[in-house]
Amino acid sequence: MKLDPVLLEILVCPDCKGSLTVDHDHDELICNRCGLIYPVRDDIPVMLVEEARRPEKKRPDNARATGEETRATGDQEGDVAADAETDSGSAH
Amino acid sequence: MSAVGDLARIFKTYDIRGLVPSELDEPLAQEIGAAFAREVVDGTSDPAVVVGHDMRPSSPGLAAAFAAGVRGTGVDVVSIGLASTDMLYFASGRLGLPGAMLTASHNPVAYNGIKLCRAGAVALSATDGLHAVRDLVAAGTAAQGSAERRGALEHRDMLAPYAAHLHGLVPVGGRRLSVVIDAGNGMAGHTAPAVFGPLDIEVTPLYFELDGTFPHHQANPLDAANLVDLQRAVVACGADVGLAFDGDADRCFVVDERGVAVSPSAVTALIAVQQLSREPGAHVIHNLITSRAVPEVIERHGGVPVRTRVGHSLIKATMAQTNAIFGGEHSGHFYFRDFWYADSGMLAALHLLAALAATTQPVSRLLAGYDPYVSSGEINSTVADTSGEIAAIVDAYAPRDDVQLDHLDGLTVSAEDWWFNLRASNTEPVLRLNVEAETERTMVQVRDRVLSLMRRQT
Repeated sequence: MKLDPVLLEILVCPDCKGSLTVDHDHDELICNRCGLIYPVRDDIPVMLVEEARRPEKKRPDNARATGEETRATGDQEGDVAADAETDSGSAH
Repeated sequence: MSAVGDLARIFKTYDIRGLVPSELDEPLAQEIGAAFAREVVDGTSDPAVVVGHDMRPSSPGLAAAFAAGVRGTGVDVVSIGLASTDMLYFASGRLGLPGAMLTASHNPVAYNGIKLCRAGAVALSATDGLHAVRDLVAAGTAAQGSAERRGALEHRDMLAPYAAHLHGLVPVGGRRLSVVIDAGNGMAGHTAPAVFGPLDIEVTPLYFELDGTFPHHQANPLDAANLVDLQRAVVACGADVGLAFDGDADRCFVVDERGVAVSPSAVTALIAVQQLSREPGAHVIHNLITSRAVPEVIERHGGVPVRTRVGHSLIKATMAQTNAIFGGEHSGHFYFRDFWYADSGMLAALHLLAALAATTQPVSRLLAGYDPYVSSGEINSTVADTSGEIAAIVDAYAPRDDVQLDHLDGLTVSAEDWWFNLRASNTEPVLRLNVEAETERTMVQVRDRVLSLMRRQT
């Protein structure tokens, strides 16, 4: 995956304006704040909330090991999903 | 051919536009699609046409009919679905394909139309392809004859590539701006989220819902009445700047932080300065209605101003001839060499935001030096005989030693501290008057003098 460094310098998450991290293994850009994951297709970042992927939930056995932390993460994911659905239609 | 309407009425100078369905319906769109394919597709390469459409209720059906006409000639169609006109130009440029955009631009919902371009976003005009397409439709032969195969239909999403292309051309950094954007329920409601969403700016959206019935105001920011909501919102939000786009989002208009509408000439001058900093000494095109400040600013920054007649294809052709880096029109069209010489209001908006974000000044101060004169705006007058009227004005001014006359487009009369241009509409018995002067008093005097001369003739 080749991404224009100028693009990486200026792009932020369109949902929460968080900065982005490049995941070269999966051709994706990950928001450091809300966790939304944006695909990169043909070296072009698809910075559209409606095409972003939410981070996967942790497995249940991990949840048992770190119950409080995971519940907090889960709530956060729910907020992200709700925000994404609310904002994708009109807020941009 | 279809029985609807008179083709001569709907084939304008730069596009096709008419009432739906009385002047433009789906059978006619299909015939135009076939004629367009016959006229522009080069059979030696992979034949395909890219087709996009705006948000008018009639647009999807007309686009599908147009595509069917193209495919009937054996030519493939790449459908990009909902698009702004500059996004269609991007697709035509990026894919190297002729293109068709189903839109009536800023016209009310009763209208629809088609903008056509050759591969590389080279727009058709009356004498360069559009009349040929019209004549093929009139002959009724374009759809005749069986192609070896029916053209294929491919759907392709160009929104993300379009946005990424613009971001690559104009990186917006610096301070975090607050921007109100009025999409007027037009296609900027589709493209602005993709372009401005992933930038670190705060956007307050007005009328982003795609609605070709234009429930809030007509999508024509050239009419001051349609800027009122944006002007109020910019002040109410304490925003840094407001942006308004027309129905197909190819034109952009600017409101400053005080809620005052900015002259497109000032925006032209600002972008010219930015472009000249990238390429010192470059040519920059402006039509003869833009403010006198535009060529003055271009020269002051080491550029070469080139004055042209009004009109889409003239600007683009002159840019290509002179390798100009940028061109601007008083009507809010901005043309860029690195955008296939096509016009893009969205790209102009990004240039403005980039300049604004790089300074701590408010936009009114940033642009103040680019708008030193007083303009009348365009004043339209219906007259019986346009050429007779212009001849009478020539007679009135020609004897004077303190003015110069030129006929590049209509009549321009220039003095040391004022100028006016009077030109005829292509389609109606209308004269368009633009006056500019160093003071309001002089502008009013010149304006009223010219209008009184015209009225005396009618």
